Parts: sequence; structure tokens; C-alpha cells
Amino acid sequence: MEMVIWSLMVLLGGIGLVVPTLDYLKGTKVSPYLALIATALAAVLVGLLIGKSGTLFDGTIRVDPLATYLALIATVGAFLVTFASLVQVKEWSTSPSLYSLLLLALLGVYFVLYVNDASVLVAAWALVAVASYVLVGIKKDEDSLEATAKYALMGVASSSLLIFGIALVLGIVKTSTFQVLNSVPIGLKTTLLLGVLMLIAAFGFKLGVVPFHGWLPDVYGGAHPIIVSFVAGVIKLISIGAFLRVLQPLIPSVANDWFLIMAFLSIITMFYGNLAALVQKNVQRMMAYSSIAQAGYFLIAFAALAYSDSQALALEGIGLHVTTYVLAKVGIFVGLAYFARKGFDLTLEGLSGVGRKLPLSGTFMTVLVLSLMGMPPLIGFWSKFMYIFYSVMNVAPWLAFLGIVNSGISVGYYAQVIRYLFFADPPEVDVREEEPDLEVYVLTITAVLTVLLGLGLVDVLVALLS
Amino acid sequence: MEYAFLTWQIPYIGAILALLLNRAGKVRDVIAVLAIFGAAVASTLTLQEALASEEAIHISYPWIKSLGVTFGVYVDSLAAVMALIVAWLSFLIAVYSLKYMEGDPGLTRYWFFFDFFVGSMLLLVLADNLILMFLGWEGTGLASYALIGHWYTDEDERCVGDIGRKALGVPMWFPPSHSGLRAIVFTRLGDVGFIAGIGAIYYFTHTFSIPEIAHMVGEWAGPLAHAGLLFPFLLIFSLGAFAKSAQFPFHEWLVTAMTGPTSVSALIHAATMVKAGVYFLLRFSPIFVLAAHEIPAAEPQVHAFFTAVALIGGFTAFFMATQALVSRELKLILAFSTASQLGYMFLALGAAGLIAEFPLGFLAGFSHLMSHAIFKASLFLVAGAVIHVVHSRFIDDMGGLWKAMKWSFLAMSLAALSLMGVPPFMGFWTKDTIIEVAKESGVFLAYLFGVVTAGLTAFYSTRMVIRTFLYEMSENVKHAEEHHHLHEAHPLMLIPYLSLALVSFIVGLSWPVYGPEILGAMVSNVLGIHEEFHPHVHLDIGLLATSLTMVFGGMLVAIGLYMTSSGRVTVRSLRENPAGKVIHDFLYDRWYINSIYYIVIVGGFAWLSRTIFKYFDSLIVDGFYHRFIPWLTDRLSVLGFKYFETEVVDETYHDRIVRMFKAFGSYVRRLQTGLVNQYLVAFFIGLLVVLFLLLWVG
Repeated sequence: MEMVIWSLMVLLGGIGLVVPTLDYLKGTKVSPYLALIATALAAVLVGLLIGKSGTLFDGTIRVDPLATYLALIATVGAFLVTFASLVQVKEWSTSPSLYSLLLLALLGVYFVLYVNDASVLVAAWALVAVASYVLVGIKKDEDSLEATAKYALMGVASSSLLIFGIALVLGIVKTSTFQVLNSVPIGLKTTLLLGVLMLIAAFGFKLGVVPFHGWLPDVYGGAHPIIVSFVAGVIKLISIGAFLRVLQPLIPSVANDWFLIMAFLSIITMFYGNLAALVQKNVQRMMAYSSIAQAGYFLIAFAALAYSDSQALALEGIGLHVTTYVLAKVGIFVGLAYFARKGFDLTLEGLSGVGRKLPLSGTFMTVLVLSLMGMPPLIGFWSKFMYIFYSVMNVAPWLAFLGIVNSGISVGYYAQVIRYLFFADPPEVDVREEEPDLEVYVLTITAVLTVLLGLGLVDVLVALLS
Repeated sequence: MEYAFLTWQIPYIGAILALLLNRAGKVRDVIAVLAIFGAAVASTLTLQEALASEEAIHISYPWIKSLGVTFGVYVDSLAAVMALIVAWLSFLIAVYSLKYMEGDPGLTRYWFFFDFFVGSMLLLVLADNLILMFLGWEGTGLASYALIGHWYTDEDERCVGDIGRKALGVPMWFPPSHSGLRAIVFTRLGDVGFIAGIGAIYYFTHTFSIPEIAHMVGEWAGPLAHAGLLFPFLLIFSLGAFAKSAQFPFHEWLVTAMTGPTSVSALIHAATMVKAGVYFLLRFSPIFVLAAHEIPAAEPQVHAFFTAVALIGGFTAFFMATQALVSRELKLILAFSTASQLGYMFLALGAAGLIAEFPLGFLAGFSHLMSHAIFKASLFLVAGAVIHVVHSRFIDDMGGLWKAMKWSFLAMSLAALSLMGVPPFMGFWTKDTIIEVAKESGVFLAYLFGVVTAGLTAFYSTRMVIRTFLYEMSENVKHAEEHHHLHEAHPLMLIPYLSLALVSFIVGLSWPVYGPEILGAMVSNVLGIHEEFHPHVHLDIGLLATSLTMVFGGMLVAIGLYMTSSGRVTVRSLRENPAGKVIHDFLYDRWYINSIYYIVIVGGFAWLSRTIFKYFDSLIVDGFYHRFIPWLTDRLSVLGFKYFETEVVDETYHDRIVRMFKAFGSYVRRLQTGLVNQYLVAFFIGLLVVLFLLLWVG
């Protein structure tokens, strides 16, 4: 297994660091293709880890099926984004750096997902964080720069909390390895809680948990959609990985408080995200708020981790909902990037009738939106309703009920998107889907997977998870 | 054999074929119709099989093993008869659509969703578990959304309501795209309850299988009943059914669903979609009754639930019928009538749970579903043909069509007589049983609604037939006649609705003889009904007199008002009379309920969203940042001035710090919105709030 990790480092780190330099110096254009190959190979390498578990590198890295599963999803997301970017970022002067950052960030994501030691966490977190700040601003236009400045500024706040939190927690655990605490000295409980809280804030920041969400609408709503598809679809997984790896072992020591914090945060996050999305006129911004709402659903599953009889279903739920989320968000933001490239304005009005002009991408967009809405039999229905909401059914039915109510509210804006895409006169412009519109392939892949996984492969995914 | 699987799978296959044969024109249309025909044949074979076997047919395969979700069918007499009605009616409507939709540019979409719709409905009828049922349930919702909005270009003639009319400042006309949205949002609202109910049942029983749930009734109903939560649970679980069947207060979507093609309206109203809610209650009310029998503590709560269903049903029947009295749009009259008739079915099922002989009420609701499906499909299809000929949806633009469209006139008259409940039509037998059960239930108000509605129904049905076919010709019709545009409908359209109208008449005629047999087959092995029940046709003379008085009274008033010249004068003077106008507007604007919804709910949500924005992004955060911090700095500097009156300190506090904040502020302002500092403040405030909350709670 160590070989696999080494190979990943060489593959992603090597290509990520060397190739763009070549492109800049020699003026070649190989980085997009090498990045594509690198992500595909990375998927194969991660695939080798399926079903394996154990600790590596003197216990700093720990492999288990859930982390491998998440890594695989992240890789698929990265591959799809890279694929779409072949046509999307061709004109950007900074595109070789983009691919470099994409690969390095992906490497960082792996390390966060497999992390077992504080030093690795800090290093990997910093790698991903810095890479993502630059990624957001890489287009160098006004909107991107504004978004990146906000992102970085808030990122500094959250990273400092990460360090504080780690320091507090490690001071109590007295080892840098993340593990289950057997007992907490009486006087230190509050200190531990404070540390946990800081970590929740730090990780919650990346996930878009209210009230640590401020940057998210601006970044997801303001940056170029192709970048957002990566930030939302791939980079976000580090927060989920960190929750699972860093915080989960600490839950037994703060069990009741953990449930309370998670339930409280999930309620305000879901309601804020869904209600704010209702009034958005810009679809990209609406999807940003929808991401906040989705973060709220994840928090429900995190809340369920507090109790042993709901834990198993919750973990499966997190894994499955990550699948839903990554497929949908990568697909939707790539789709929005596609519409933007075809000259459409990304407001509801601007997208009216687009589904009739670009029928394939419109239909697949609709499938992805329906999956987020939780329409059976798509994967989003299973992950959201049947796993995440049902996981808390045993311990807090009211929380599940609030989640279901929120799903009901969310129909209000998801249906608007579908309505404008299809139930409107198509605009009088001459556009159609044609070669080489690679974004359509990405939409096809994500939508077909969304349908197929929902129709009967849920069991396969669950088997991968455990 | 697995005909039951084929019954719902064939339409789905048809839907996919319609999509693949996008460019095949007529071939695609015919294949889509043949798929429905296949489903109809399969449903017939399924019924045959179900009737032949004593036990219900239950076939299931594992699907999602980790959750115990199965992929299967459960065919008792309820499911089999229902599937038969759905499939055959859908087939006739599909045949009609072949001609009716001819030349429409969106036919691939139409046939795809049509077949998808029928498949989903059959799936929900035949499913053996709640998840599969929910899948079909949502499928019908999605397909109806697409079909109601089929004419998405929103031309005025496709709308519902008078263009430009407002009630309480809220527009009262709805283009197709808006109506589709209303349908999905309204019905999804109820689905929230449905899925929550599924969750609650799963929590107690760890199964989704419907027969299992019936067997394990004590395990979920018991704890709920003891906690006093059974009544709210039943209401929440059935919320989806109320919404789907357009019961008050969820009725609004059905009214505007009339923007779809008329064939779609017929499909939604007669066989699919709205009947799903009634089917849901037919499927689960025997189980609810079982709960009341097995658990003493559950009895009062189940009783309360059925009383609520009877009252809501009765009220919906009455309330929607009053709106049909004044409506000017042919399809709208029928839409109000559908919701009203659905109210009757809910009334029957509610009453069923309250009377000693549950199967009697069950059959009243079920048989009325069947007879309504037949005559309402016929009425809608005639309406479509008429609207096609006169190019207007308003009855003011019709009148005097009987000469040109004799067969259509015959069909509409027969179907309307059935709707009114005139003997010996099918509608008479089934509606009369409902009123009888309602009386027996002891919920007097519901019974009263039932009886009064019978009169209202007779009035609006008669008015509709007269205004369409017998009234003096409108300018529009005269104009069409001069240009020889008036013609009988094409046989492909005429045959489906005429045959449905005749079925309604002939079955009604033979009801005293074959009725008990048909009813017996319908109730032979329904899940949850264990008692032996031998249906028989009987007439309660007192009740018969009451209902017939209402029916003929309503009919005569309508004839008097619209067929005689003095009657017409009366109508005109009634409408000009101020009090008459107030009542008319009240009914015409649907009791202002639509306006109230828009003002309170839609407006309320928008207000809530905006307030949250304000609260988060300006009020607290802004207040903290722009008031509290400057105030704090100011205080600090004052303090500092007091104690260290040196120039260095003075400079630091008054100059540097202020400059620092200014610099930071202007830096941030360069980011155009200046919100980022607020985000940061929110970030830390949020952290503090959570911390305080914990300290406070812990």
C-alpha cells in the first residue's frame, strides 16, 4: 500500500510541478492532456486500495474502505472537471498553472482523507487551502479576484482555528495520532470541547456550515463555474474527510454536546441555505446556496454519528451522499460553464428555454437537479432520504422531520430551474450542441451514473463503503 | 405468472421507445399507444389471475439489500381492479390523443410523458412496498408537471382564468408554465408528509413491505397510539394523498392544471394522478381500521382520523361544487367537479372507518372512483372536442352546438346524467351509497355536505350541457357555422368518449343484477379486510327521496334559468344585483383562497428569506461591526486618554488604530461589496454563540 501512496505522490506531484513549467518555458500545450492522464491513473491507483485497510508510514496515514471510497469519488470528480476544462479554459493565459494546482490539490485531498496524524493534517490542509485560493482567482478577472480575496481572508481565520483546535485537542490526547479517547480528565472536558468546537468551525468553514459560510455564496456564485465545479465537487471533500478522521474519534468524549452542536448547526444551515436559495435570480448563486443546504444534510449524518445504533447507517449515508453531491455539483457547474460558454446569461431569465436549444445538456441538468431534490429513484433520493434522514430516525425523529421539511422547501427553487430551462420560449440565437462540446460528455456521465446508481447499484456502493 | 410486472413495465418501455423514435412521426405515436394497450391487456390478465386465486398474488425480488427494499408487486382485488381501470381508460384517452394532438410540435415529449405517467400510476397501484409506491407516486407528479406545462409557450388561449382578472390584487389567470410549477409544488408539499410517514413506519417495523406493515400493525400503531401520536401520524402520512387528490386546502393546483392539453386533463382527472390519493386511502384505510381493532388505545385516534377525512371530503365536495356553479370555462367546470367528486370519495372512506360495516363504505368509495373515472373521462374528452371546434375555452363562446355535434351531445348528456346521479346511471348507484354511508356514519355535517352537493352537482352539470349544446348560439358559433367550421369530432376521438358514456349507462342499467357480483369481486381479497362481506344492492326509500329531490331540484332550476327567456332575464338581473355580484365574485375567485395563499404563503416565504438576509448580513453583523467595535475603540481610547495622557499613547489610540481600521475598511471597500469583514465577524460570533449555547445547555 505504501507503494501506491508513493506512486500517487510521484504521479500527481511530479506532473503537477514539472509539466506547467515546461508549458510556460517551451510554449507547449501538454499540461491539459497530462493532467487528464494523471487523474485517470490516479483513479486506477486509488482503485488498488479498495477493500484494504491498515496504517502506513509509521501510523501517519491510515487506509480504510470509507476513505478510499471518498478518494475514488474525488478522483472521478477531478477527472471530469479536467475533461471539461479541455475546452473551457483553452483561452486562459494561466491554464498550465490551473492544471498544476488541480493535481496538487487532489493530492492534498487524498492526504486529508487518509490522515491519521496532526502534522499530515496541517500540511495537507494547507496544500489544499492555498491551492484552492489561487484556483479561485486564476482567471484574474474582477469577479474571481474579489472571490479569492474573500476566500483567502476567511480561510486564514479558519486555518488559524484549525491550528488552535489541534493544539488544544492534542494537549489533552498527548499524542499526535488521531484516536479514540479512553477517558478525559474531569477538569479538561471544557478545554476539549473548546478544541472540538474550533475544529468544527475550521472544517465547517470549508463545508459551508452557517455561520461560517460567508465566503461561499461569493466564491461559488462569483468565480468561474468550471473552477467552482472543482471547489464544490472535489475540494469540499476534505472537510468531510476531516470530520470523519479528526473529529469522529473524539465524539464519544463529547457525545451529548456533539449531537446538540451538530443538530443546531444543521438546522440553521439547512434553513438558511434553502430559504436564501428561494429568492435567488442567478442560478449559479442559487446552486451556491443549495450547497449550503446540502452541507446541512451532511451535518444531520454527523449528528447521527454520536450514537452507536445510528452510526453505521450514518457513515453509509455520508458516503452515498458524497456520491450524489459530487456527481450533481460537478455536473451542474460544468453545465453552467457550458451554458455560459454558449453565450447564455446564468440568471433564471437568461436560461429560459435553453433546455430546448441544448436538449441533451438541458435534460441531464434536470436529472442532476432532480437528484439533489431527492426524486426517486435517483441516487439523491436514496442517499438523502433513505440513509441520511433515516439514520437519525432512531435517535431524533424530529431532526429527520426537519430535514424532510427542508427537502420540501427546496423543491421551490429546484423546480424553478427546470421550469426556466424547459417551459419557456427558446431564445432566438443559433446555438446547438456540437463537437467538441466536452461538457456535454461530463453531463452525460454524471447524469447516467446518477440514474444507474439509483436504479440498483446502491448496494454496490454500500459494499465499497464497508 | 408475472403479468403484474408487465402491466407497469410496458408503458415505461413505451416511453423510452417514444423517445428513441423521435423522428418517426406516426410510428412513434402508434407505438406509444400500443404500449398502453399492452398494459391494458396485461392488466386484464392480472385481474383474471387475481380473481382465480384465493390469496393475493405477491411476488418480490430483493432490490436494495442493505435497506431491505424489495422490487415486487402485490395484487389483491383492489390493486387488480384499479390497474384495470387505469390501464383501459388510459388506452382510450391515448387513442383520442392520436387525433387530438395531431400536428403538435412537441409530440415526442407528449408521448414520452404520457406513457411515463401511465407506467408510474400502474407502478404505484401494483407496488408491494412503500418505496416502490413512492417512486410511482413521484413519477406521476413529475409527468403531470411536464404535461400540464406542455404548451409552455404560454399563449393566452392556453391559460386558465380570465386574462387580466385580479382578486385581492393577486392575478387570477395562469399560463401553462406557471400551472405546472403549482402542481409540483403543491403536491410535493404533501409528499413531505408521505415520506415522513414512511420513515416513521420503518422506524417501528424495519420494513417497507405493505403486506408486512398490515401484519405488523400492532408494532407501529401500538407505540404511536400509546404516545397519543397516532392521530397526527395518520394525518401526516395521508398528507400526500390529500394533496394529490386536491382535497381542501391543497385543491388549488388541480384547478389550474387545466392548462394542459384536454387529453392530459382527462388522464389526470379520470384515471391517474388525482385518483392516486384515493387509492392510497383505499389501500391503507383497511390497515388503519385493523389498528383500531387490535389496539384499544388506538380506537379513538383512528376514529378521529376518519372523522377528519369525512369532514374534509364532505367540505371539499361542497366547496368545489359551489365554484363550479359560476365558472365560465368548460374545462374549469369539470375540474371543480372532479375535486368535488373526489371529496365524495374521501367522504365515503372517512365514513367507512366510522360505521360497523367497513367494507360497505370502502366499496362506496371504490365503486364511485370507478364510475367517476368512466364518466369524467368521457366528459373531458367531449370538452376537448368542443373546444377544438369553437376555438375557445369559455362557455360564452359556445351554445347551440347540438345540431352539428349530435353524437358528442349524446355522449356529454349521458355522462353528465351519470355525474348528476340520475337513475339508472352508474353514478347514481355509487353516489347514493356514499350518501347512505355518510348518513350512517353519524357525522351529520358531512352528510349534509353530501346531500347539498348532490343538488349543486345537478345544477352545474345541467348548466354545462345547456350552455354548451342547447343555449342560443353565441356570436362565435354563428360565425363558425357561416364558414362551415362546425363539424362532428373525428371517429378516433368520438368513439372513445361515446363508448365510455354508453358504458356508464349500460353498467348502471344492469347494476341491480350484476352490481353485487362486481362489488364482490372488488372486495374479495383486499389487504386488511378479513371479514366476509356480501354486497347487495338495496335502496333506502327515505334517502332516495332526499337525494333525488336534490338532484331533480338542481336540474329543474338550471333548466328554468337557462332554457327559458324569463330565466335568462333572472340570471342577468342576479348578476347585476350588488349582493348577487358579491356572491358571484366570491365563488368566481375561488373563495379568494388562491389570493390568500399568494399573499400569506408565497409572500411570507419571500419575506422570511429577505428577513434572514437582513438579519444575517446587515442587522446583527453590520451592527456589531459598525456600531459595537467603533464604540469599543472609542471607549478604549477614552480610557487610555484618562490614564496615559502621553502623546505616544494618544497617537496610538486616536490616530493609528483609527487609521488601521480605516485602511482595512478601504481595502475591503475595494473588494466592491465590503461584506467580507462581516462574514468574518459572523464567523466568530457564530462560534461564540455555539459556545455559549453549550455552556448554557451543558
